[in-house]
Amino acid sequence: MDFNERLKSALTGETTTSLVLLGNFEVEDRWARGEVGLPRLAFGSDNVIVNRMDEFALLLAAKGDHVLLKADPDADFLAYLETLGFEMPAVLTPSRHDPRKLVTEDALDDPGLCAELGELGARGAVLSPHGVSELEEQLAGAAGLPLAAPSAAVCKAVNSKIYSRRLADALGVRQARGWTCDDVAEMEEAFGAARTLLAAGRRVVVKDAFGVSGKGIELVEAEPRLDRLLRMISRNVRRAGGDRLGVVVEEWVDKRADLNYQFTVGRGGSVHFDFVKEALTESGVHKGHRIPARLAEHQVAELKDVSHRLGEKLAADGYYGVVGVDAMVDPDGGLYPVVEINARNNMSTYQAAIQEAFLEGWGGRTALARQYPLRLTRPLPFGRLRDLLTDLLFTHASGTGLLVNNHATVNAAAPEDGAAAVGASSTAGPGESFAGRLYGVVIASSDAQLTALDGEITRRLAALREGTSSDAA
Amino acid sequence: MENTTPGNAADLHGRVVGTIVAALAEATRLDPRTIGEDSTLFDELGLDSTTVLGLLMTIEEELGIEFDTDSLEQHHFESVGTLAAFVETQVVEQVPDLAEA
Repeated sequence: MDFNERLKSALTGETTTSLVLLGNFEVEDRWARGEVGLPRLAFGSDNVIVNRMDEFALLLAAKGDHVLLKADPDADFLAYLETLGFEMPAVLTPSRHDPRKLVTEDALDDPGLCAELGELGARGAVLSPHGVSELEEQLAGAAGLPLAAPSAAVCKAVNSKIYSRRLADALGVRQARGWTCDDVAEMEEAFGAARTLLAAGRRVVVKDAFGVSGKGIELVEAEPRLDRLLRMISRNVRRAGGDRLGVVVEEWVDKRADLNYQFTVGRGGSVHFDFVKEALTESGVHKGHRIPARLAEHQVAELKDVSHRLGEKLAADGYYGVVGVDAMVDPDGGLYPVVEINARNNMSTYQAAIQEAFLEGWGGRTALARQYPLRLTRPLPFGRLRDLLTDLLFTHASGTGLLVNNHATVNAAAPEDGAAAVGASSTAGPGESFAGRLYGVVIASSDAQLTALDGEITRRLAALREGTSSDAA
Repeated sequence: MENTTPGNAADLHGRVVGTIVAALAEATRLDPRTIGEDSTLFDELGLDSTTVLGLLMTIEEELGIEFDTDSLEQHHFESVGTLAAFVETQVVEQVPDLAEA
């Protein structure tokens, strides 16, 4: 059974159900609405790019599935994926899309598309979002397309970092010392404990209960900064009325590596461990995920055991579907198996088909899943990107190179004709440069080749920024 | 009094810009000499949503103000200059002595 079939089985009990996949990334933003925690400041061109992460869903689908996207993929990109043997699903798009809106909102704005989804529903298809908020419930209801997922309320509840920490506590899973805070009194107590840690020369992190993975986390090294953060959160609580809030305070612990593992919980409570990846950092900056993770057998066994125990509890609390967990390896090789639970699809979920086709069973192959930041002055079609990368692009024949798994994020922030780049100054004219992201998986036959390929891809793409490539405008 | 206002305003502007540039240099590890009022925070300086809160807290500490984070809007974060203009209004409101110094 491949991952697509396992997913269908977990969500619907059948391996042949037709899925309508929806890549509503950063669904946390919807879960966070109405919640009080760390100040949320998401600006710049990030949002329009994140909204086009919907295209990752192409590689989660199988033939017979549908993928709901904001806009049609580049035909050359689809052709490239097909040459690699991936069977492309049918693509559905709204008649128009707003770059600042989620794919779910675009679909809700299009009655014709909703009717089309309803017809698929009548033929037995089900809606399978990246994560479920009230927006996806609205779309399912408006279209008459059943949701193959727990309710938004369940999904939100099990994605809170407070839930995650308490669940790990209940299971006796090792965690950094920490405190969960549901109200002002708990926060003041936790901050008091944090002051003691700071006084002892330790560092602490304050996390928003609904922060997007990697965001909504503030590292605090000195007491005045902790006090300022406390005042900031307290002001937010006062403005919201009442004394409810959601933050977690933890001691900062040393680590050798970050891990991300995934398991799938079936509707009946079955748990399947899918994989574990290792996060790579360079000078403290997150670079991507290494596949496979460099772990000993007993470490993987521990993660599998924890997965089953977490999965059972999640199922008991009404959750089923994909679960991603962030974990850490301490300097002595010991595990912190639960740093954060993300009960939704994860970036790794969308790489499963690539792993199955080109990594598992190909002994010795290693891979790096990452994104390359781009700076462009005009849209970069996939055909030109292919010409630029040439021998660095993954092909069946070479078995090495960059396998692009999202092209929409490259041009997501490009200005429409005559308009300023999204996220740029409103006074900027055409020709304003814009940010983009190229997501892919670099596949190599050794660590040394992986490093060399990654370096060469970075250099080739940098030419776009510096205008030394014929592709620079 | 009227004769001194433009000078005070210029002093305040210079101090606010200097504070923001120093805080940005610390947050982004860039050379402060490469940061100007026209520098765009996200695209040119690489500020992101994970570093912006720390930047705001540093500015609060340096200037003795407290932001109402709900009132911060995207256009305030376009460039060093637009952020400085917003911060100046907060200094005038919250620390009038500093604004008139």
